[in-house]
Amino acid sequence: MATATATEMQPAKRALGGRLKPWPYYVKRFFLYIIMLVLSAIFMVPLAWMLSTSLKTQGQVFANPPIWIPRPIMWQNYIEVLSVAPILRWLSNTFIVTVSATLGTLVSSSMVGFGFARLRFPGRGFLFGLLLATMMLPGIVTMIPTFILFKTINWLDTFLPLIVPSYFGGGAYNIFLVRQFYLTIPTDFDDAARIDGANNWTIWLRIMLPLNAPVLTAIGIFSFVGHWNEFMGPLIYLFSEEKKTLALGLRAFVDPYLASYHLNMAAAFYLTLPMIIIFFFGQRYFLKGVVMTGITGR
Amino acid sequence: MFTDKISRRQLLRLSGIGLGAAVLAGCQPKVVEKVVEVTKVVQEVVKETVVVQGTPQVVEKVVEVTKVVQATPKEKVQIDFFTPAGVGLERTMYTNFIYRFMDENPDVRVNVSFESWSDYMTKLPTVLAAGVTPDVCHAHWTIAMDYIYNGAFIDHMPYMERDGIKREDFIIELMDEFAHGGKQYLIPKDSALYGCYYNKDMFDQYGVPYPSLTWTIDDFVETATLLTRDENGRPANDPKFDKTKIKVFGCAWVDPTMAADIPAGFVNAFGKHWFEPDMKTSNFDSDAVIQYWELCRKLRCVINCMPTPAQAVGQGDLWRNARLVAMKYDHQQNTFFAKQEAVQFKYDVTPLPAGPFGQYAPAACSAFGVTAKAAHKEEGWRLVKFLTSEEIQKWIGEQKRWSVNRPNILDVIAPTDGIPEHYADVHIKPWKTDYTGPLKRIAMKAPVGMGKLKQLYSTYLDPVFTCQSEDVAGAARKMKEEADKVLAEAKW
Amino acid sequence: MATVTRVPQAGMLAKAAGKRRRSKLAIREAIDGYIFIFPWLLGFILWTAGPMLASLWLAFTRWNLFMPPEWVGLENIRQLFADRFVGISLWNTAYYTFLSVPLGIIASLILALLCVQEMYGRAWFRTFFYMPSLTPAVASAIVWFWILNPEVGLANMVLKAIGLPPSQWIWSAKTSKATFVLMSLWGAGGNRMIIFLAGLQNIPQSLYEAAQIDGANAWAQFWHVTMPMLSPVMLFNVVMGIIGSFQVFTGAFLMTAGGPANSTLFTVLYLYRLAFEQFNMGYASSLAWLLFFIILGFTIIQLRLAETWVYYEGG
Repeated sequence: MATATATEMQPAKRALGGRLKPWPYYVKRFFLYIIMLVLSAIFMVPLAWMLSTSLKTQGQVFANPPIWIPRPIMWQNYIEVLSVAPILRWLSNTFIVTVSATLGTLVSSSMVGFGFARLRFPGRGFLFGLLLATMMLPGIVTMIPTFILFKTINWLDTFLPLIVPSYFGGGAYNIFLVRQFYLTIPTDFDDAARIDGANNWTIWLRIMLPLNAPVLTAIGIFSFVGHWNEFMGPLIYLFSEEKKTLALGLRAFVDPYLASYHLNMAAAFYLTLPMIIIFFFGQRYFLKGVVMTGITGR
Repeated sequence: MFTDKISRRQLLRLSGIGLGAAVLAGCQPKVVEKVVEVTKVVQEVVKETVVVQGTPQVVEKVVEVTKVVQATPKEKVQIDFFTPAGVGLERTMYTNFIYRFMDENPDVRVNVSFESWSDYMTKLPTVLAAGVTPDVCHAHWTIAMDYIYNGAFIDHMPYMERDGIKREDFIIELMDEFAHGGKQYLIPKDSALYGCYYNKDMFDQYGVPYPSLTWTIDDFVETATLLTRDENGRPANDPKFDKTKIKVFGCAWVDPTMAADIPAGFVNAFGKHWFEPDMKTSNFDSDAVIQYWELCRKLRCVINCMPTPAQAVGQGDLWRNARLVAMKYDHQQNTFFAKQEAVQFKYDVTPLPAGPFGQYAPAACSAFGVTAKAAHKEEGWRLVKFLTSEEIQKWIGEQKRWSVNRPNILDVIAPTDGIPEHYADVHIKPWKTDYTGPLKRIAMKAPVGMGKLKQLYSTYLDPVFTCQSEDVAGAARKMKEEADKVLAEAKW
Repeated sequence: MATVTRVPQAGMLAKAAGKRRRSKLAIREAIDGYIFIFPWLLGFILWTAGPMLASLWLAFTRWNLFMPPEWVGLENIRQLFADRFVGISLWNTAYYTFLSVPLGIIASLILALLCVQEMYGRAWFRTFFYMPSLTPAVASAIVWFWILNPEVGLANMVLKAIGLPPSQWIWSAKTSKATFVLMSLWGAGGNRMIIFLAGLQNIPQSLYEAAQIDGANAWAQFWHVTMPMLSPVMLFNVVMGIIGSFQVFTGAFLMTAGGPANSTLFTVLYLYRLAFEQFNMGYASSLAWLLFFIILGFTIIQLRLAETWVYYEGG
């Protein structure tokens, strides 16, 4: 890799931030914004539909041609849905499970990932293969044995089966992801630190974690969204109405005969909004731009 | 994490709120009275625990006290109860039933677990397989025989005989759905009684006469054809009819599958049932089934008067939103939802049309039963008996959404405002014991192996009902051949 | 990345020192290695290994979930080869995987490259792109039904506008699988894009600057800087894409129930049916293990191939 050795190069001026640019720059920028807006519109369809439906009256939901801006706007749907089901209770359960599990995932996956990426030990390749293999068996056939396991240790109808496993590795997907990112960091960093007397724990905490803030943020987001939206685990492990999570509770709203989609979508919005907020603030960690000349049009 | 007392209080609060919502939702005055009555029961229960309200510390103390109190008399029997239930009215209603049951049976505590319909089908097998056996659970007719065949439920006949409950107290056809070899494995929890709902305004608009109570399948096809209109208002039998621009379809929900409720009424009108009574052979290649499937294919692919699945999903109820469909087959709940959604058109209901072998009134239901591995069968039976009792069924019927499981109290489901006009002719009279009219009662009974049959159905019949193939007889023959192999696997 | 500038010097020193001390440190490093992976190892032993072994055992039994499992030896395996639904479902799954994975990765990469451009409202655009991953599956299914409706749906309106004949989308056996591939692309702004974004953050700006000085244009920079530096992340997305796509389930479960005519009967959907609708958990387990070995095979091929194209800076 010829380019990789060029790390010593003088920092050049960034592509943006100058004064007036030649006109093709502005033409390219214009098209960039158009593309971004069109793509955003495509990706926003479901959310827009959810939001719009949640503010409609029953009669407007399936109007043809579709109504996008409801009239009148039924803000009271959001109040009404609270009386149909214990949404707030379910929301707080979801919050407890999600925050505890996300914390466990972050700590343990970044730790285990370091072990697989940076430390040599006998059987590493085999164990890593085993880690990948755990993702290849469809969960449907391990569901019942896992359920029996949690039943024997008396964890049914508690949040423990949903939280505790996160502290034991945080999932093969996340470990694999962290490992791949650790592998992109030059070993020179570790070696330099070792000379300064650092042990593996210091290298992990002081070098690897800060350098991998973007991917850890990503894992935080995935884990948050994953646990927030998960319903299969809560479905089989939780029994009482007051222990349910929102994603599970919401499933009961989907009755093909009920057709009260306006309330369903208001409830779904209670589920979605916290994730949007978390994502919006989380993704700021990748805000640093990577600028390739030409693409932005210089 | 939460003690029994607290969770109970929270459930009560939830159900109280739900009841309030149910009242607000615009129930009939008579129903409101009933709701209030149950609310009273709830309030009485709340009184016992009212001390509990206050700061968290106080709660803990009170809970300790109640634990002591519980320990001194004999231990309460705890039974687990699994059922799917929609949010809102349905959950509130069953929560209240359970409180009433616990009031009447102070020695029993019921832990109920509600799931959504689709999830229940995953959760129940999982927990049963893991040996977590609820004492009482729910089964839908399509899957009940699989559970029964695999020994999941007990025979309730000994309990019924002991307590003087007769099969004839119930709508007997519904009891048959869950019976085999003289044993009664589950008891119907309510019922769904079918008819054909039609939008009178559309009939008036296109000058088509309303269907009579004794109409025939030919009448039905003609009516559906005349009501199917393109954007220019031409009916489906007009040579210039533009099938790419259909504005109104004549009819919806004539489902060709054997796993749906209504088709049995048609198939029987053509002379046979899907299966022989012993459930060991199928009749898929019989004239009756082939005629019915040919009818469905004609409606969908030739006359174009039935919306395809593509047109029927994701748009809510095509009939109730009064845009796409003039007639549809549904059970009495359609009246409830039409009122709840305040439909703006005039409508009525009529029985399924008559065929060469008579006119049929189909019904279906779900049921509750005590499981074979239940730890407390006696207490479980008491709960089943209670939930299927006349008193509770009356209350369910008075919601005007579900029908009841016994013929003597059917009148409670009648709409108080008399709309639709022929409601009683379709949903009530044919199911009374003294009925002497032309309609023949029929209830659904599924064979063991419905899951496999569905897979075969989509293999052989999907090409026909997506209008890719016209060979109904060929598909029927293959279906019969393979289905009989599946049916032969069940050895009782 | 101010730290980058002092790396080369320190690196050389460290490599020299490393060789001398490696043997002494090897044992300690191995011990540390086991300690670092210990949480996963324990979790694996506690709640992954047992259930996996149990399902492997079940693959050789007949189990209807109600009666105790009954050992049938190789009967299930024999049946796997006789059951045409196994063939149909594997074909459907492979079709979906081999179209959706490459297309999805290209789409995600393009979106990620768009999302790293300096522009106003970038945070909002990223959030918008991620939206399909946040929408509850049940809600998106309803939207899709509405978009794909052959008569009044948005999708056919678009086809009509550009002069193409309308399609039956998921309601025809001919187009249903391709439609699922299209629908999967709609999730391209999800986790995969975020992973690419995070990967792009780890590429030192100085590499681009060096390339610019060498006179490389944007295209050359992409192939000679971005792609090699992103290759470990690319490998992750390819491997996870294959593992995930082979287990596609939710869309078909919610929208088509495997139809029409079994054209969207994906393997895991068939598995679910076998287990929970046909009460044949033993046979379902043997199919699951067949799928396991298929996925394992493709993953091993990927990892072997990866040796030729993945570049690890710290490998």
